Amino acid sequence: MMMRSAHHRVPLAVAALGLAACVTRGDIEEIKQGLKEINTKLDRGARPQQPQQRPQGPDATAVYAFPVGDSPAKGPADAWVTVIESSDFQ
Amino acid sequence: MPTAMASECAREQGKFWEMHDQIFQNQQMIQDPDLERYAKQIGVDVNRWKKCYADNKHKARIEEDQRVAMQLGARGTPAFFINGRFLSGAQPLPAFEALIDEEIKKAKESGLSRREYYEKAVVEKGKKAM
Repeated sequence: MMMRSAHHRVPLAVAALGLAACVTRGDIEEIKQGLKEINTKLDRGARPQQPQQRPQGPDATAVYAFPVGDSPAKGPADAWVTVIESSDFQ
Repeated sequence: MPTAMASECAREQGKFWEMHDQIFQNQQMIQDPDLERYAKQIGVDVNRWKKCYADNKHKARIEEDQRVAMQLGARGTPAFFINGRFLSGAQPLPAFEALIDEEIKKAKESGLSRREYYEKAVVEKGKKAM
């Protein structure tokens, strides 16, 4: 019985060695690099949005040429101040 | 989008704000039958309103508004532009008052008339982000 199981083990070990011999150091580096990239992506996906990834909003110091057009409006058309609201319902 | 379309279809009949207020007060009840009920309540011609709504008649206009807001980077709502100056989100009243007071002062000192002020000082001179 013991002999048989040892016998079985031999071809397996050879096969594994054969595989190892085909993989060069360069390949390993490439695989490592790939894993690193995958991990980075996973990491990014798992975390809440980073501040630097937040899309840039309007510049608070600028004046934007926002046309009123025929949008629904309240109050006199010739008011000194026009407030445009961009809104939606929940 | 359905609520915006419902409002635009009411607007055709001069009842935009009436529909807006109904939807705003009942934000948990905005399925099609609810919207139709509001149309009845505010007193528009319901058949005309229903056709307008079913036809997605004003969809393009709404999408254009969304596009402009996106292009400006005003992705969240509400977003405000007070004489073209951006104010983000539901800010406390003093934030609005401060900006509005500044703008009133600026406008009065501009030498422009009330009628032409927004067009000349804000739209023509403002940053064309659209």
